[in-house]
Amino acid sequence: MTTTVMSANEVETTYFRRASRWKLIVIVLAVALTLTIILSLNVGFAQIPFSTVLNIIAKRMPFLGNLVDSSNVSYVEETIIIQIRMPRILAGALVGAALAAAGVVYQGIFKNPMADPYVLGVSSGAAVGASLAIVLGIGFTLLGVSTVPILAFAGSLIAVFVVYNISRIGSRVPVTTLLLSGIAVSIFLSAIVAVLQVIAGERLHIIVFWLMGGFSYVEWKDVLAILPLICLGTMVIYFYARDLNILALGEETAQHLGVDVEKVKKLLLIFGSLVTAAAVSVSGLIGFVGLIIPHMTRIVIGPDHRILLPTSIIVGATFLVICDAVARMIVSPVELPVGVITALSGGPFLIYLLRKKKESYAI
Amino acid sequence: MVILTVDGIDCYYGSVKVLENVCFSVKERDFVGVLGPNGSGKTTLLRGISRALKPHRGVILLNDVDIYALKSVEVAKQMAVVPQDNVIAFNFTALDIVLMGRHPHLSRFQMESEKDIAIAKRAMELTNTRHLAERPINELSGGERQRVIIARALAQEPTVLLLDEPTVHLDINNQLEIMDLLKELCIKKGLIVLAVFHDFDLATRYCDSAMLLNNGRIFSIGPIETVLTGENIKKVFQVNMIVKRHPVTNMLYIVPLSTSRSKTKPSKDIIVHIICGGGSGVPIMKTLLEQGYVVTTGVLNTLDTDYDAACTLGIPVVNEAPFSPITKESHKANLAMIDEASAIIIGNVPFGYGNLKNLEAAKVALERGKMIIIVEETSVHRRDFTNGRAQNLLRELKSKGAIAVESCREALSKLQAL
Amino acid sequence: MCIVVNTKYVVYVTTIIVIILIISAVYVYIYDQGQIADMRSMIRGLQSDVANLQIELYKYRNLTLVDDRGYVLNLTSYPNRIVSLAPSNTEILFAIGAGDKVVGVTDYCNYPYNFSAWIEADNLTSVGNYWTPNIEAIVALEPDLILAAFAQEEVVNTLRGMGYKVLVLDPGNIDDVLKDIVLVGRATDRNIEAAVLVNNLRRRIDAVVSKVAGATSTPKVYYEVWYDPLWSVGSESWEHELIEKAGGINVFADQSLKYFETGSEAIIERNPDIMIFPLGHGAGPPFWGSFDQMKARPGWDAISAVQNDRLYTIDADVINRPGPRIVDALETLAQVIHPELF
Repeated sequence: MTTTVMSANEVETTYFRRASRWKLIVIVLAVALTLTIILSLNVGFAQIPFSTVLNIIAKRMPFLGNLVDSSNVSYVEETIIIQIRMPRILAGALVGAALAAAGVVYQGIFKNPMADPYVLGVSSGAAVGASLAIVLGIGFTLLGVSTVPILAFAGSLIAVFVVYNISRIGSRVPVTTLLLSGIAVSIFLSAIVAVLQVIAGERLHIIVFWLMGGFSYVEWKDVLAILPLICLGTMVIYFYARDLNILALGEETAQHLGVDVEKVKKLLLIFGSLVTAAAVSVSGLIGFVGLIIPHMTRIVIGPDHRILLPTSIIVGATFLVICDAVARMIVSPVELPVGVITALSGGPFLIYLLRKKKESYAI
Repeated sequence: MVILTVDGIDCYYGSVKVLENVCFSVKERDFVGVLGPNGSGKTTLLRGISRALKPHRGVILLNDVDIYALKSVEVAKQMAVVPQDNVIAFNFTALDIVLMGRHPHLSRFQMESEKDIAIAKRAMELTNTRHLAERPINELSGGERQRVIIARALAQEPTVLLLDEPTVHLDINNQLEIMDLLKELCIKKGLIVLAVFHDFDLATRYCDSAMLLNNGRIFSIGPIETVLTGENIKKVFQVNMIVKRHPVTNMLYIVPLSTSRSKTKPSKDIIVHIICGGGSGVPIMKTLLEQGYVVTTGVLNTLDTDYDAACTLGIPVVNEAPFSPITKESHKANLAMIDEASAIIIGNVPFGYGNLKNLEAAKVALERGKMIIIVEETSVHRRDFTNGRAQNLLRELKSKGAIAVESCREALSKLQAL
Repeated sequence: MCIVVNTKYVVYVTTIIVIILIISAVYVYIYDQGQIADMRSMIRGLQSDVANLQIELYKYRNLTLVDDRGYVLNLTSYPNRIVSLAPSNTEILFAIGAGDKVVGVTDYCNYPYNFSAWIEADNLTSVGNYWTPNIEAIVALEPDLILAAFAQEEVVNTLRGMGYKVLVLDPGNIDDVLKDIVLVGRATDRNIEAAVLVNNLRRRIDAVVSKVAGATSTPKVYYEVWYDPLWSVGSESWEHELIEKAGGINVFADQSLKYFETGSEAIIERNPDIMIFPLGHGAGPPFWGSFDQMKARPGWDAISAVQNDRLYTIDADVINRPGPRIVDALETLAQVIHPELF
């Protein structure tokens, strides 16, 4: 924010209109996300004309469906758009949203700019779960659902549970202890992953590719599995947006202002971990989104979590959808790991923003 | 009638007992100072009342309701806290911070309404921070930030206000403004104000009552004059202080003299008699005592600061009733003391008809062969209210062998000759 | 009346009866014969119908295939658009003459033709690399059969979930490779070609095995999978089986893994007589640099293979791919291990 001095009255009127400004921002961003999703449906190995793409989507819309002539849309094209591209794009959006939301939450609770969604061991727990599933080759499907995401999800939740219980003192969870326990547990679990990689022998590559993260084989059932969890989780997190604001004043002060600090911390940590675990189980470990997106949006829009959260969520979703589109387009038919694209683009952009705002950005 | 009752609380940090059996009760319009040395439990007491640290024993009642039985939000609607340290993690604007004070009054999804913004605005006006509304909090100076925090507390519209050293970052101007504001709010709105002070003068100026803590217990509690006595201060802080009422403002003021721990036994057998008054003698007395001399002084009137100092320092003094000239008896006593002494030091004291006799005593001393040292930090001319007689006497003394020096230290070095 | 006249009459009547009987009999007989003939021809007709039906049934009955993972696939017709997700599968397909049905291959497929040129000329489509084949590319080809390999479970599951026919070929030893060739033959209506190929391969294998049976020594062989860190082969691996069949003994025969990490010490201690290195087709030097660099590895000059200069390379594609050329590898190894016999 610049330091032009507004008259006090001006300032107060801006605060009044704040709510409507925020709604406008969210709507605009949501529209941008929708457009991005539609445009990235056009990206992929198979050259499908955009009109066909639109045709296929329109066909499935409740009212438009009857207006559209889809006689020359082939089954293959439809399959590609609906069965291959659509789920992976939606998964990208959901994962991006989840990671960004969790990033905002963790940065708010830990008041640490380096906090990202993986800080409490979610990533290494998921890695252990996935590696175990891959090594044991527990028939890659169990009741029609793949075991790798299930074990990855379970692994991350177990890791967070352990970290939480190590750091707990009575019913309080001191924040520094959480961070340190998270680091310790992550290191330990990463070592286990390394051992599993050695044992894996020829399946090593599968583990490595899972760790790099990507959306190559996402199906509708994966999307449907994580959709409710991520939607619910981000909504619950948003309930506590103002509490997150007040936590910035310090835990004791927040308590004095009526925030039930321990309860809020626990809830936010639980749901932050849940959405991250859900995201990671489907996409593998995609880095930088949870770390960079909150900072980027905070620099542009300010630290008030009531707008920061929805904005970060939408920006995170859009960002990851774009990165995934780039990842599968750039050396088609080979796909680059999405994590590479997020790092390559996110890093420099954050540096640019930091330099532009270096005086006033503080955390 | 709002009453805050603290009944027999014990507070622990881990296994260390920090507060023991603290009991008191405050009501609306009470402005209570919490005083005590470092580590006596002042901040802990505030934390206990603000629910940051639950007492192991005892109960705290606000209007007969145990505050620990209430939900945070309920307490926050009534109690506001201004802590000592304020580290704010994100760069919110000052107005954002003040608006956070409205949190307890808002439901989960309610955005701040006109009324809330108006309350915040008023709070910022009162604390002279309204012009800072749009500024990011971390860009403000310590004092500005402190005032914003106080504004936040005010925006909570509390009935109880707890402050931990509220003026520590403020310059004197702001200190008084804020304290005046708090006092005014206390009386007008019927708040209960509990504030921790390190600065006695502020405490005495604003608090009607106070409690003095020592080692986790209440050492003294009640109206401030009864709590902040030289005795109590000496016992608790181990510092010698003089507590007097200021002649102009009629407020108590407190002047430290020395730490009683540094009481040294006289190591030399030399008695030095000091002729002083109006505060000029204190440094001399202190220095000489430190150097191990035996000190006596006279004649001083009983309202004189040097008299108080002498009493506190345990120096034998010839005293006289105030506003009266030196009587024959006093003069004789003075001469007796002078006889015992080996040297006389005349301090940088203003001379009037009332204490002119002291100079004559010095003349006698000189004739009896005592060493006379005259400390002239300012010129006699400006201290002579006797139409020149004091100056004449001093000149006479000097011509007859009195040593003139310009400072205490010089005087001390002259004494070494003995 | 006299009964005397009866005799002539009796004879007369009896003769007529007999003639009638005979004529009836003959008539019946002829009739039967006719019936029989009809029946026969009817039966013959039926039989040929049945035969026809059988042929039809054979063609269109569900062809049940079981892949190396135990997955059961039913084909109702032979595939015309096959996508291969591994170079070994491509080699098998072309070796049994089903190459004309192949529409998609990986970037790594390079035998028996220069597929990159085909891909460039748009006669063939690449579906990406082996580790993450591009699912869109596969679907766009509208394949009716997909041959996958090991470590591609995700793709396989997704494709099967979308209704595509996928077979996973993951042979563990040479015998399994031959079985896979037969399986692919069945799936592509190239049973005869597959049988011929398998027979041929079997003969070649037997030839090698019987020849080396008469060898007087069994040299110790070291095969290097990777350097820095050093990886070699255990008893569960291909290469181990090839070495043993070629008349050598794997220095790490006691390790029951397929591939594992080891160190110079172990190799020096086990002192192989022969060392074999894979030579790939990629750009740049092989991972082991050059023989000189390899000999310069600390302590390696003490190894008998180095001292006797019994160092060989083998085409990495040939030895790594579980396809027909695995037998080429066997023969090469045998020649290297027992030059005296070949």
